[in-house]
Amino acid sequence: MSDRDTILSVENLSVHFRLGGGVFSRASIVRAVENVSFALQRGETLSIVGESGSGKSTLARAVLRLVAITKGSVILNGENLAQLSNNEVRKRRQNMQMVFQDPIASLSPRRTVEQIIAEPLMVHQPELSGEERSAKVRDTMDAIGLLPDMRNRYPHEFSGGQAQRIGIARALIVEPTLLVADEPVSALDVSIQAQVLNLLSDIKRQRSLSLLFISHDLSVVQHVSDRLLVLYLGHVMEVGAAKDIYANPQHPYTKALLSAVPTIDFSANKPKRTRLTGELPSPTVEHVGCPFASRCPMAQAICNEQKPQLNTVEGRDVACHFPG
Amino acid sequence: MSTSQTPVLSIKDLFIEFETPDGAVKAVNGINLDLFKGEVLGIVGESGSGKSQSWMATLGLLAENATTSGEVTFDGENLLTLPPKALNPIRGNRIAMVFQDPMTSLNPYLTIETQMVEALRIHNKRMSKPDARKRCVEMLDRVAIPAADKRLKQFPHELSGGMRQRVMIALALLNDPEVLIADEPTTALDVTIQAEILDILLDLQRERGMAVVFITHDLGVVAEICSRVCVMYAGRLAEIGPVQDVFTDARHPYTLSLLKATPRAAQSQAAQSDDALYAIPGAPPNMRMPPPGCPFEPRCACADAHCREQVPALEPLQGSETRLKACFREGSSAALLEALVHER
Ligand SMILES: Nc1ncnc2c1ncn2[C@@H]1O[C@H](COP(=O)(O)OP(=O)(O)OP(=O)(O)O)[C@@H](O)[C@H]1O
Ligand SMILES: [Mg+2]
Repeated sequence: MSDRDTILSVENLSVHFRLGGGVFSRASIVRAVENVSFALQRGETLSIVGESGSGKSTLARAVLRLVAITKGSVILNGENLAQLSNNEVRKRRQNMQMVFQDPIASLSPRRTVEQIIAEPLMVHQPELSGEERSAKVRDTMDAIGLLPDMRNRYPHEFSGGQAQRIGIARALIVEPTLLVADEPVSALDVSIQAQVLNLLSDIKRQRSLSLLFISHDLSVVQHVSDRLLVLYLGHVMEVGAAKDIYANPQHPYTKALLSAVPTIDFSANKPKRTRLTGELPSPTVEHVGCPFASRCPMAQAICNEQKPQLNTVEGRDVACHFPG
Repeated sequence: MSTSQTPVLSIKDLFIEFETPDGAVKAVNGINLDLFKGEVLGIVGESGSGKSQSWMATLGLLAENATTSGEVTFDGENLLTLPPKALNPIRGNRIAMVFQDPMTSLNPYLTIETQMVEALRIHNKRMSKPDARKRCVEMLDRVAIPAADKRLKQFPHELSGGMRQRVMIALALLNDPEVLIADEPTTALDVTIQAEILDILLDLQRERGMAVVFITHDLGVVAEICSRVCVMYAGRLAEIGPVQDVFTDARHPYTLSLLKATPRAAQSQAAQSDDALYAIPGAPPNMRMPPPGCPFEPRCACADAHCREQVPALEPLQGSETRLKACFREGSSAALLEALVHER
């Protein structure tokens, strides 16, 4: 793949939060994202997966610079967002839009659908006349499958699925190159979820949009992803083509995670489960070794002593001393 | 399930309505269902389809504004009309329930020990405290809670979500219930934790031969742990049968649509098909004004005029003792699928 097609490149990104800390107590540091690197090509969907608390949302928010970047760079269309002023970042948001988990709560209740969808235009294209704006709203609604007569209604009049369409229309009206979707279908029922997933994949194809997709649902992720990034306690465990990883995970954590997904599979040769015991350690601990070592069925002495670097294994990158 | 078996619990013509300022919500509209000893019965359906309320009713846990009709028979008694005094020795003892949010049943101000010991001694007045405590430790061990002794001294908020859910299960199973109703007990948990808890639940179920009602919207979970599945739509049963039969050869268009709308994670298949999911058009009906005919008719790819006028009854499939469906349309799963594909 040529560099020209790289829309987003994240390099050694870390996001730390200070927790508490008063006159007498020491602040602890939550290492939400630790030294993460990945690239996203035009028209590609990269999904970020991991357990709750693994740093998925923080990573996405850091890419949009909605949280402060502690270290590293986020290069969008050739420009390092980490070095821009807040004001400059605001201008770049035209190119990177976001869709949220709770569709109804993410829409302002006192604004009409037309006003909501037009919000990003007011910020990024203030020069448009009222008429031009309306025309853009109409076109976008049409493309997303929202009926024109919904324009003057309010978000609470809509079901979750329709509200999520409104959220998607709002994100797409400024024609971003990057769309970040954080659990966009988690609040929806299966039948409605399918409508929204199909819509996302259609617009992605039509507009060669790059999609950063976050979900805890690994079946949904398998359905939408070109590439997959597996996060554990803020660290990348495995990153590569989704097909390869699903078919043949190399990191013990990825294996455990995928094998825990309940499937509708009655075949006799259904793969054996790897069970994890215990839960995620506290994110305030700084790891000398592999952060997964405490739950890893394969862990050896070295795993607690030395942090494994990402290495290419079977065509994808894996951070493990004993992959495969 | 052979017809000769006697059910542990039997639901007959169950209707539930909620009175609201905007009119009556017809939440459950005529359910008939038997629960057999030792089975794990999955209840699936979309949000609002009446999964939770129909089982809350069996334990007298409906909100004030609810009215019910019909019968829920357990050990010769109709639970719907049983006075609280007679219901209490059954609830939490012979029929237990766990919920999605453990905090709905755990008291935040009491230690785990106080709550567990109390749950035991309510139903076994003669049990000594040390005996009760011993039983609690055993039960916590059983649900894989390490250092049970220490955990007993803690308050619910000191535990992680997964730990709390295990405590809930331990609490529910303390009195060796004949029936466990589990309402989305793992929905809020990570898949890794969910898998572990489901394993524990299944082990306990087999060990004790209790009947489990597992309410969920996750078809994968049903496929993994249930023996039978019951598909609900708009307060009615659309289809019932052994899980594998229903999931591999669905006979109700709603069941089939739901299966085709569900993305599959299939590690066993090297690559998954890139086909678009089947998006069921529209949304479930407003339960204040359910349609006069089949409730799924407005979204159904197979419906005709007849479906609009009459509600199909839940009836056995021809030649089958174990499967029932509520649909006028005859024909194989493949024929129904044809209609779905055609519609798209
Ligand atoms: N106290 C109440 N007053 C009015 N309506 C109610 C009340 N309790 C429940 N309902 C309605 O009853 C219907 C069935 O609800 P129920 O909770 O059984 O659905 P469910 O299938 O469990 O959904 P979910 O998947 O969201 O848990 C819904 O339409 C719900 O809004
Ligand atoms: Mg429910």
